[in-house]
Amino acid sequence: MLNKKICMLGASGVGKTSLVKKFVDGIFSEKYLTTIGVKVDKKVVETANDKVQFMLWDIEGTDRYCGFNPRYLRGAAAYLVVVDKTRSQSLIDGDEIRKLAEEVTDSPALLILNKSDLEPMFTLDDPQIKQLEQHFIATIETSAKTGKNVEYAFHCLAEHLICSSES
Amino acid sequence: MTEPAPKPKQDDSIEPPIEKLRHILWGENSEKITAPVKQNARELVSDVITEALNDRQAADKSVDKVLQPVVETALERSLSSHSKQIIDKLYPLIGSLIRKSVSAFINDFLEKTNTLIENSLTPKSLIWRISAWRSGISFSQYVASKTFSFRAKQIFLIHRETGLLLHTTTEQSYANVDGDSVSAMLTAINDFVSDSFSEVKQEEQNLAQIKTDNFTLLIKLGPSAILAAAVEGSPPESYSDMLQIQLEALHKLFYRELDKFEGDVEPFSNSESQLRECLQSQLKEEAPQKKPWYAIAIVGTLFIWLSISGYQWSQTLHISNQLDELNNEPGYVVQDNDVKNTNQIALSILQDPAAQPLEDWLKNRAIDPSSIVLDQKSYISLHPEMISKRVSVILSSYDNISFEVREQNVFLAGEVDISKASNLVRRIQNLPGITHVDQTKLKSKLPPLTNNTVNENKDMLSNLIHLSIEKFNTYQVSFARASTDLTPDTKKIVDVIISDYQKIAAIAKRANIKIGLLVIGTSDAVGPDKNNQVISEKRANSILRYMLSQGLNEGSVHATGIGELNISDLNSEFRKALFNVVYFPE
Repeated sequence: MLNKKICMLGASGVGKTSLVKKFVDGIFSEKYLTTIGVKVDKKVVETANDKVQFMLWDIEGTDRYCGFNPRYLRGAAAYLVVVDKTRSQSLIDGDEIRKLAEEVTDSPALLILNKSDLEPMFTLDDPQIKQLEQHFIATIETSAKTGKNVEYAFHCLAEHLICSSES
Repeated sequence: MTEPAPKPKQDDSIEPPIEKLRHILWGENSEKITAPVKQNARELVSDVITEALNDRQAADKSVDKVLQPVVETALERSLSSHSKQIIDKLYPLIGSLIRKSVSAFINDFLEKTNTLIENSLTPKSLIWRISAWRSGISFSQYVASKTFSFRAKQIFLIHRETGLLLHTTTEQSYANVDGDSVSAMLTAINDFVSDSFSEVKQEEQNLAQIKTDNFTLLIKLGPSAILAAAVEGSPPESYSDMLQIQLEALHKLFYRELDKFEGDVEPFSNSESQLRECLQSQLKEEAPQKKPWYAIAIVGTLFIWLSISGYQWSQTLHISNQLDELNNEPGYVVQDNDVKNTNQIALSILQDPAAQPLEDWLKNRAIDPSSIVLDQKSYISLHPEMISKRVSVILSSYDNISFEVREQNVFLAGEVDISKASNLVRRIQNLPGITHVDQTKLKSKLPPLTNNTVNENKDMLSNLIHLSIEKFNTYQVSFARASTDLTPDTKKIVDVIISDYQKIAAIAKRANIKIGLLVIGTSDAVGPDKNNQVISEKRANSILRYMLSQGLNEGSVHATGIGELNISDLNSEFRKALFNVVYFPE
């Protein structure tokens, strides 16, 4: 079974922790997020032919004024940039974070448009999104509240990583 | 000048010698060569087969793989066709194996039981259990912390770049923690520390250890991997060095795997033996025990004091039990018998003055009177022995008188001076607990005559006669209904009366006092008064005649009958003769 380090990035309040909580049952308290800025959880994802264990590094919410610790991205097999569909600002922040991340890693990234259960401020057809999603291997709309596409997003990522490691 | 020899031109039609040789060996006619070899092939192979197999096995370990299916098939065939022979051969081997296995199991069981008992029932373990409970940790953890100076619980081999766990191994009794999450978190914490406390950004700071009260996480960083050891207690520096050496060895062993790590941890399962080597522990050296002299002295003194007190207490209890026996002693009643303390008894008793003195009683039983706080009161005991003692005291001044006490009746026997007799009886009768004094066997005697009889005090003699004649009031002779005859029994009484009268007559003579004996016959009220008068007179006369026949002077006795008595309680049965002595002083 493959083990992969996956990082969750995104501005404050976009729902990273909720996504992870929806996905795993962790052993660590969330207070780690506020103390050292990261909390790690584990989840095994089964694909058609293989299994992969994700070590999910939920990194404390960041914005343009407060960068994240780039060390946390070190060795990550992939990272997810989470944006809040109800806040345009989170999209801008997401782009900033992507740029910061690309400075320290060339790992594949997934764009997650969270809170899809609420009234969106932008759609997938918006040029802003179109321009941003070029940098990602995929863009997935999720809802941590309803659970929509949460499993699917990680499943896609697992498939992608298995394929790329086999190639 | 000579011409150089022309270089020989290579002719393609001519075969070089090596080709010729090859042709001979492997060509059409090779059989000529191989046939003789084949003939000796068996010998040739048998000479080298063992060595050859050994060399090939050493070179690429391929022989066992080739042989495995052959051996399996052969064994299978053997088992199906010669099962009995194989069973016979295996039987002693299997028996031995089973015995060995059972023996190992029993030894293991005994060892575990012993450990369990040692850890469960000794005073030390009880104290440890309490301490563990107070500390809020499990007993086994507490035992480990007390027994080992350090003990590695779990070893983590972590990929440095990703923080992914490559392999982990744990000490047998230790509950495995989620190594994957711990490894990742540890890496995150290390990153956090490194980022937070590096003064120069390029200079990487790394955690070397995380320490709590009784737990240390030792972290050794290599270029590609991190070796972390979760250790209970305080590991020595040498252990830390050993971890570093093991990490270097792991880097050498897994150089390729670490370099090209893409998340596949499978190859690192081979690091188990190296990680297991890191699971070291060290027993605590027992400090040479100091003799706790103060404690021994205190405990010793306490023990001696308790022993002495216990002995004294048991002795006092024994004395107290002995004092209860005082209840069986005539003339004593134990009211209270309390052990006050280790050497004092409060004794409250009632004592008859005639009883054996308490001091003597205690002395006979070797009881120290100083251990008794006595509350003593007098009482009169009605115990026959006490009555006897009191009678004895009175009779001690009388010679020749014996007595017997039966159910509060005193039976006197012997002789007593007539002047003392009535006094004696009165004194005995006045004693408490006596209802009757029988004096039928007590004979009164006259004081012996002396030379100065003439000068005897007349008053004394007169008193003596007075006392003696009182006795005659007590004499009665009974008759059967309508009878006036004396029976042998009544004659015996009359004999005593005659004897007594003669004694009084002798004394009266000395005192010059004239006396006479009056015999009074009575009758019951049955029948006519006249007849009863006659019968009463006859009864008196019957006694008179007998007295005269026994030697009394005729003139000293007067017989008379008074008929029936008008006393309602007596008149139906009162067939008697009564006696009285009448006298006239000169």
